[in-house]
Amino acid sequence: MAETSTFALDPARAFAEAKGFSERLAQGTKLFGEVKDEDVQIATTPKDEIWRQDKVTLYHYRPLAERNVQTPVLIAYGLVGRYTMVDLQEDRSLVRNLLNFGVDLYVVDWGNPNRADRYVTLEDYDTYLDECVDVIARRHGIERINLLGICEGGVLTTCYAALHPEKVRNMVLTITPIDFHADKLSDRPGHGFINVWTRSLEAEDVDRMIDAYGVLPGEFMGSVFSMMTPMRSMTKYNLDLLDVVDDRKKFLNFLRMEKWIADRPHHPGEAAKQWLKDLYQENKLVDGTFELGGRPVDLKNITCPVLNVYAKDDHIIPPATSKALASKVGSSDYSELGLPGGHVGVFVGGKAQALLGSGIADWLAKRD
Amino acid sequence: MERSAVPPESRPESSGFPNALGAFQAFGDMWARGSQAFFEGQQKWLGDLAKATFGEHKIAAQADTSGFKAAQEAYSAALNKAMSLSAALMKNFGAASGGATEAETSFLPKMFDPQAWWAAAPNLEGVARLQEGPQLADVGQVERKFAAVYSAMVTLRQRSLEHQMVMTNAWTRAANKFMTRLGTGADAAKAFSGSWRDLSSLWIQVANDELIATQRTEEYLASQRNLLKASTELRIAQQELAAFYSEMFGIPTRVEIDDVHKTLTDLRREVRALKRSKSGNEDAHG
Repeated sequence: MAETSTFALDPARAFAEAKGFSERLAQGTKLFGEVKDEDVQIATTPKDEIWRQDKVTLYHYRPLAERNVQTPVLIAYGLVGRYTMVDLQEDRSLVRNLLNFGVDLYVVDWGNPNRADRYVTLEDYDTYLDECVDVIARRHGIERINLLGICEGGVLTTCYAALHPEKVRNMVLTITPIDFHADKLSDRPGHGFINVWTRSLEAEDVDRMIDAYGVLPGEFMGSVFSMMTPMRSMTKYNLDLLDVVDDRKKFLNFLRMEKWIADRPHHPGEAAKQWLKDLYQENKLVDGTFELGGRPVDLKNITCPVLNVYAKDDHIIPPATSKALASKVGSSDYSELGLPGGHVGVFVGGKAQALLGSGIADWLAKRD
Repeated sequence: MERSAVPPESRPESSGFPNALGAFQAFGDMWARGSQAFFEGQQKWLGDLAKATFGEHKIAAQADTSGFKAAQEAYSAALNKAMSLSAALMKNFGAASGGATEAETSFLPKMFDPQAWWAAAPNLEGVARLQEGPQLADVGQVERKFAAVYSAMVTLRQRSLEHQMVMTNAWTRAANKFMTRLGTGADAAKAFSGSWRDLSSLWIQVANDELIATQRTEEYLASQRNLLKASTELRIAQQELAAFYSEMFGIPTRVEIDDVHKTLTDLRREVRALKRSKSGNEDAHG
């Protein structure tokens, strides 16, 4: 057994800590009593529903500034998590930042799939995305629009741009995996665990899981994400909460993030099989063998300008998995933007989210 | 008779920090008495379940529990090792914690509790939730399906123990590193400053590093996979049992409902395609 010692104590410091803790606890208790669920709103930027099909809804955000980018932008989030991350709160909102830069903005909400959606595939989502693009194009009397894909939504966007290049004016990707095995290029501890974990499964394991549950349960993916920051889950509701509980603004920020995390939809079963087996396990997208609706997704078909944004400390989508697009895409106008922060921090972190909004708006304005 | 895996010299002593230490002591006592009782209880529970399900004369033929027993024994050894280490940690915390309040340190037992690592291995939480399903009922009418469920439950408990052993061993490694750093490492001066927050931060850092390293091991990934697989197979066995009763009482089975959903998804695709075709024709003809 390791050598042990008895810890010496600094009475003055211990007393100061105890006093500070007691004060924070008292204030926190008061805050807990005051805050209501209605105080913890997310995705509050005004928007209007303009189209709906099955469980998919297309929204148009009301402008907040004079239009600076004429071509409208459609935001596509993934099926793991909800789009509300891009509009978490007023001062941490990619949506508001883009609107304030004069971008005309739409977002597609994939809804809340359940077991009834077991047989919905990624082909179906390509079709839904195509419907959204057509609706927006018709509203504006144009043939091509801008796409902004996020994470798995970035993969959907990439596939769409490869299969329907005539409908995409510019494509912006954020924290999007392209080469699902590129995590092997880096040995940063804790980074790319989902890639490692998924590869440790057999294809049959995934099939049986979908047979049993019909979906990739949201709680399950949540647990996998938590597994990537193991001690955080143990300290989240004590140490972390203790650090913010005496500050109303920080406390509400904490609760908003909790609200987003709790709202984790199930991933449709057949689409989950494609996501886990074809992409994470077999890495078909980067080698050109991934197919949607019988059509191969050839990344060389993407000839529109591409901005690929990655988070430098993204432990869920390691930067190398995103940057792999550079050598695969057919576009001659390809740019990368590496931002400080992690997978979620790039959207809500004070510095990164400001750079993200301005970086995307500037890039689009130059190509409008 | 009380059994204790914690040697008397390692047991925490009372200090000026009675409440938190009391919690530590409670955990220590629980571990000391609990490991043997836990396994005895497990075996009794499984035995009772088997008797209720199959009757006395059928138990041996229904499921092979030898793997489960082996996992129990291996896990028991790992847990006892962790318990001794945890008790030593508790002893030191008892000496270090004067001046803090109970509320201030009420989370510490969880942080230093090896069992918290099982709960904090989030996949287990997910799996535990996923494995919830129909309860056993109407014993004796569908022996084969019950046997499949029982066998799947034994397998799941075995896989769960195997995974808990991996996590417990990781906890032991982390605790050893933590104590080494407190005793001789560069962090000693900082950790010894008397701040429980500093101590907590050091533990979080050491434990996090060890857990992340563990997650990359073949042993961890294999036990995760086996646990997931066992959980899935139990769910499927439960659904097959439920299907038997659904058919008996004229209730739609899971397979039948899935079939309806597949048909609905196909029809939606056709409707979408027809709408797009109609829209395309209208555009073409102005």
